[in-house]
Amino acid sequence: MPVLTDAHKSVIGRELGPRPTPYPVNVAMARFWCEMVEDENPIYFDEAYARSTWLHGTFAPPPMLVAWRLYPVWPEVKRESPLDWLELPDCPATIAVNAVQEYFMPVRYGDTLTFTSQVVGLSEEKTTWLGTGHFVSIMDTFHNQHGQAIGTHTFNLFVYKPAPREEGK
Amino acid sequence: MTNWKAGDALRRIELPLTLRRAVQAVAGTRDYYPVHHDEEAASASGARTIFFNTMFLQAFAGRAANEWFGNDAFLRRLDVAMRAPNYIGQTLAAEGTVVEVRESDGVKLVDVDCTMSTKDGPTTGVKFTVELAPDNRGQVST
Repeated sequence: MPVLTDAHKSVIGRELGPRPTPYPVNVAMARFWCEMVEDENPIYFDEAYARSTWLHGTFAPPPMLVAWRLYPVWPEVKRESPLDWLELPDCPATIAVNAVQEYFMPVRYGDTLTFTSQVVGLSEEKTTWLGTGHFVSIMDTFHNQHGQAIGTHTFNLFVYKPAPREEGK
Repeated sequence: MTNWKAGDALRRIELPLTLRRAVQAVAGTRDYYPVHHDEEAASASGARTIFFNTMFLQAFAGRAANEWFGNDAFLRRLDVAMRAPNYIGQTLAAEGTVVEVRESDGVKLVDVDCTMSTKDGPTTGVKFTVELAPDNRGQVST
């Protein structure tokens, strides 16, 4: 597997977007999200309660950032991803290491969001118990229709060639 | 309001990881990656069976943050590290400890270390920061 070339390194800092998210921030998707983990927090749906707090009204669960930007699976459309720029053909597997999100303000129902995606980190070749490859960090930054930054999502991934499995293990 | 301090233990919250919940997680997160709903695809990837995605863990951490610090606490930062798969058939339990309570520009922040585990052991390392609701609401505007 090659060490990083200048072409690989030139990808760091490159930005894709801004692109619109497919649906406005909406109550139905927020409810599905809360049902999933049995989240009973009334601040997401009870307008009278939410208005009585310092947060001045209902809003969608902050960790929904990525859910807002996932595209419909139908009709199928090939969309560009910063991962396409990496050109690591020897590394067919990807695993999530960790995800860091920051939330700057509440995301209100009816908001229409846009996001940019940027490669913010690419490691030299590393070998872990999974195999040999590169740690890649991709940061999405989300804005609302007023141009306010509402949050970021940084996904740290290991893109690798799986180590051969030993027989009997 | 509780006066939180470093070292405070946060009560355990459990969530059974049923197959139905995995289906809800596809609906709830719109993540159609096959390992999260297709037994064969999960096995082919080297996993034991279907396992839950990152967004599901972020959602559970978000729920825990508000159950521990109040419905009107606002999550500021969430770091979720995937250490081992969260398989269907297990029960996921979140436990946490207050690391620091700090004030910056009149804003009260709590940093928390949280571990999510199944009976196989810890699967997910979580660190988060919440902003507590201000005591004097009249002076705050957003």
